[in-house]
Amino acid sequence: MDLPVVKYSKSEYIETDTGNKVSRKSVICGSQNIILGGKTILQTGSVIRGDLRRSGAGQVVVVSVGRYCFLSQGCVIRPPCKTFKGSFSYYPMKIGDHVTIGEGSIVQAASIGSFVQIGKNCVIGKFAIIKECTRIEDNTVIAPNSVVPSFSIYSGSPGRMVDELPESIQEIYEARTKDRYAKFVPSMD
Amino acid sequence: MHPDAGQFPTGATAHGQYHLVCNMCQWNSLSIHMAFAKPTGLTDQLKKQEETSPDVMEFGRLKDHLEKYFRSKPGLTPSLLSSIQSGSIQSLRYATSPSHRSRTSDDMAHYVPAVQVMEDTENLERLMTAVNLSQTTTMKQRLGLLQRQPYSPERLQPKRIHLRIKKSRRCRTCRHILVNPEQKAHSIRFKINLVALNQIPNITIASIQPMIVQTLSRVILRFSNPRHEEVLVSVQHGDNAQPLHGVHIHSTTFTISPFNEVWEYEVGTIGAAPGNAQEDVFERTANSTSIAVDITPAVAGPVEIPLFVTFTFRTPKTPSEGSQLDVSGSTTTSEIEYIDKTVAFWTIIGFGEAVPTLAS
Repeated sequence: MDLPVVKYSKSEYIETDTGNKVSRKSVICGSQNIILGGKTILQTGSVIRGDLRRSGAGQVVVVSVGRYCFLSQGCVIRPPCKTFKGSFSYYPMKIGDHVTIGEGSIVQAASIGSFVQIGKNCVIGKFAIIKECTRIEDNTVIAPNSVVPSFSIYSGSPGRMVDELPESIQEIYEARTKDRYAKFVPSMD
Repeated sequence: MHPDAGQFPTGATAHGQYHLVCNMCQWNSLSIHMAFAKPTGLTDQLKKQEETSPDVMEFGRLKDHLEKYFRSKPGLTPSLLSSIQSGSIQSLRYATSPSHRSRTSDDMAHYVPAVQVMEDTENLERLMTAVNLSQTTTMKQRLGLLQRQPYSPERLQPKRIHLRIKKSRRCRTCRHILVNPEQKAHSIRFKINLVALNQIPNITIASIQPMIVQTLSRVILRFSNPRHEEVLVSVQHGDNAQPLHGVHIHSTTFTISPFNEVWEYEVGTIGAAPGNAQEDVFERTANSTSIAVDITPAVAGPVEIPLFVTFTFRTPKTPSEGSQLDVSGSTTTSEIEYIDKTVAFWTIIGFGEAVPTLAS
């Protein structure tokens, strides 16, 4: 199925120099701690909590998102937290390139590799590590601290491996995210 | 508590011993008396414990005892010996059961087992008095721990997570390697990755109308060409598929322009490519051609149409194996022989669910 051309109202989205398209109706906390790699789309109602940072002074990167990522409506990106040696702290999160996060999903992973697709209404537990080239089906709950290996499809609650992805998945996801960015265009009026 | 839920980082205790702790439920491996001397090589440390378990030692003793006997009797078949070595329970039972021994062996020393397996009354009582299923383990959990097969959940052990493996693939007919991943565990690259995606036309649905039973709906199929040569495609509908939906393909034979990196940035329709202006196709863009297909669903339910796609492309004839694309641009172009290659494949395209008509 070809992706449809999505028109957005020019007043709603801010386009940065590097091609990121950020909705004005998204919630971005602590924007000085967030890096968007470029050509990344943040849809209406998506939340990135860049304010949840490691205690201490100085500039830190809390959430770094790669290129051609797509954060759908209502998804929440929240850096993971834990109490280590008696002190409570948040830890940075890294998201690779060509990553799609579905509507209403809550992500507290430690890292998400490139070429990852996360479905709708998923919960990615704290400090989960999602490797490159993986797919998380809709409504999946990934347990905290778990590792999702490359070329696997996870589904269910708790999320378990249900299938493998083909070797060509990297090219498929890359083409799809690029196509979606190209088809996300402002409406004329 | 599921032993295989989550990760088990090791935590050091005050005595220099290590144990596994689950970060989520605070489960501690000391509760099942599992401790480690060092934080690495947990598998080897556990294996040592398993080797000293009574049933493993008993099996070793019994094997030694029987082997000694079989070695001294050359008349016995080697297959029996090997079946004992491979741990076949059947043959062990035979050798140790008194009735059988009296028939087959005359000078075999009587084997005295070092470990007497008692009647499992404790387990039996526990299971008899259990009132709900959480007091016992499931069959899946027991099969996960084949050595022990505990019935009480307190004796369950954490399970090792199986690592994923990298596989290389070969062609079934010519044994040529198609996919060969890199050796490094964390790398997702491939040394060889010949996937069909880069060779055969890619079919996508460009536009679709809702499927209603006994109502004609038009879909547009877009065929994209990933190859650097122009391809001639012909599409046939598999007409003996069940259920029999009405399918009419408007242009069964058409060409697709070659793929060109420069065109990737071009949008919109290109005027008719040279030489095929008369073709009746729905739309022609850079390296894709769209055709119209009319579908009349016969019954409600998923509409899946089988298509037989044949495509022909012209490729330089190479006497030996090697890169086929390097030849373009060289001065010897006129000497290169071109051959037509035809590849055909079946595909099934799903068009979603057909809804019944309002009248029915």
